[in-house]
Amino acid sequence: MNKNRVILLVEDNPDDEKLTLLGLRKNKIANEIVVARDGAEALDYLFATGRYAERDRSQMPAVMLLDLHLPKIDGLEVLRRVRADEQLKRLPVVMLTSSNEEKDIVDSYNLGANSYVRKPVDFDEFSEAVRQLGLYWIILNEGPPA
Amino acid sequence: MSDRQKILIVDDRPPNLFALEKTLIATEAEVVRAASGNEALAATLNHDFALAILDVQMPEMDGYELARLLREAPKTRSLPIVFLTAAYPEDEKVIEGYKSGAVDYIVKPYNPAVLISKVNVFLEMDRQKVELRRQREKLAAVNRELEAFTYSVSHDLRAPLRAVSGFSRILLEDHTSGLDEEGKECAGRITAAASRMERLIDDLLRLSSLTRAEMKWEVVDLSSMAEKIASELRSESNDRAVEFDIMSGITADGDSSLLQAALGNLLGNAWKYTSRHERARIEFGVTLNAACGFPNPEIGADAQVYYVRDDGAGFDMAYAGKLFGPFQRLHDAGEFPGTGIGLATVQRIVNRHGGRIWARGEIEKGAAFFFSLPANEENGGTRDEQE
Repeated sequence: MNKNRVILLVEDNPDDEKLTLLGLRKNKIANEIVVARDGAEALDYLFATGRYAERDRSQMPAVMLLDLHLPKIDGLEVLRRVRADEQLKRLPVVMLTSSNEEKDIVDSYNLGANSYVRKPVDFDEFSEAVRQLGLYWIILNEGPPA
Repeated sequence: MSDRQKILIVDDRPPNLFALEKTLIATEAEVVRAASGNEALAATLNHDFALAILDVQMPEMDGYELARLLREAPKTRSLPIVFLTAAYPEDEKVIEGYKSGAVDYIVKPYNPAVLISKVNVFLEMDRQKVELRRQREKLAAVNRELEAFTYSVSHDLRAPLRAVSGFSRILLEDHTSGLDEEGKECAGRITAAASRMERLIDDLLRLSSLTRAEMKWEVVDLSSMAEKIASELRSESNDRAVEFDIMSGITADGDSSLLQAALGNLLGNAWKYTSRHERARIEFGVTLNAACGFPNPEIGADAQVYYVRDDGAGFDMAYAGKLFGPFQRLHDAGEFPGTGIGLATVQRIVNRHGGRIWARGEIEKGAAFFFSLPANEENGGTRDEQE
């Protein structure tokens, strides 16, 4: 049932994307990971528009990892639109940021981010965020390799 | 837009306006005429005036009433006003005029030369005011730019750094079998260099935020602050034989968290640069400039001077000028680790308090850092301009 729920990673920096994917894979995350490289693409995925027009909109990602600084439409704007949508407003959102700038943190909490992880995504921090969000039953770890 | 200053002249009689305007030609300012109070108020909406010259006796709205209305409007609140009167007004009229915001009176018939020199004084004042405002705006723009720069440093400089340290760590953690000893050493060096750069960026950001944060003035107990710092240093490595000699009862006017950072840096440096000596002695105290052993000629002989002195590695006085520059180091990182930001930070903090900092050292004999923190009331608390 929950096995197919994807993790949506919204990240424009290919290095950070690779590091995050390697980190999640290394920690045996079994969920499919969909990568959107800017805010517009993330919104297309979430709202099943544009290149994702075929997607079933009712299938919400398990969690969205959302970079703050994105080309075209930035992370805060993506967050604003997600929270304004009747269905998507319940989507767990973990903001990714490259600094501990207070303003970023305050802004994203004001807009309804659920959690905050500093890049590169440290797996322990990510696990803690997942635990706090009560998502451990959605984010699936494969068993240890036989 | 023309840079010519503008003078508003208000009189109900056209011949008077004509004569006044002719006189004012010598000031090179642009003259705008109004034949009544209402016309004058309308003119203030379309122009920025440097000065208003008002006739007192006018039908309907007299000069005093007009001045009162000008004072009430935000745009003309600080517009200087000169009243023209037929005779020198009686005392109560003078008082009424000042209440409504007069800056000066000129009695008719006036001497044109006197009028012009008075007007020129006001024009010069206005020029300075405009210049001051321009400087303030420029400063604000520079500050905004600096903030954007800092933000960009903290974000954009970190991004490639994350890749460098992240990927080299992955090489070390997951691909060691494919690396020979030299390969592993190289990857290790990459990781170490990246984390050093991360520390540099953090220090740099801290330095710039220290200089921008608003200051809260209070009386700060420097002695107990120093005691606390000393015991923290001791607890970090308690196997060292270091004697702290901290004078008791030292206080200063200043910002507590800034002074904490300054004192922490100075005592931390003393601790660090005595680490190669078997025994060491670190002092913190206050004395008079004349008695400190290395008086600063730029401040008074009886000014209070605080000092942090150690008997550690010291430095060559030939390089004393470089001590306080950011990223300047007089010792190599292998000998004494550090990013070279500490003393630059201390200097900024002392400067923000309106004080001076200077140092004396001798190789392997030790270093002494002296700083002054002028008391707040001496400067009326104005030395740190509002940012």
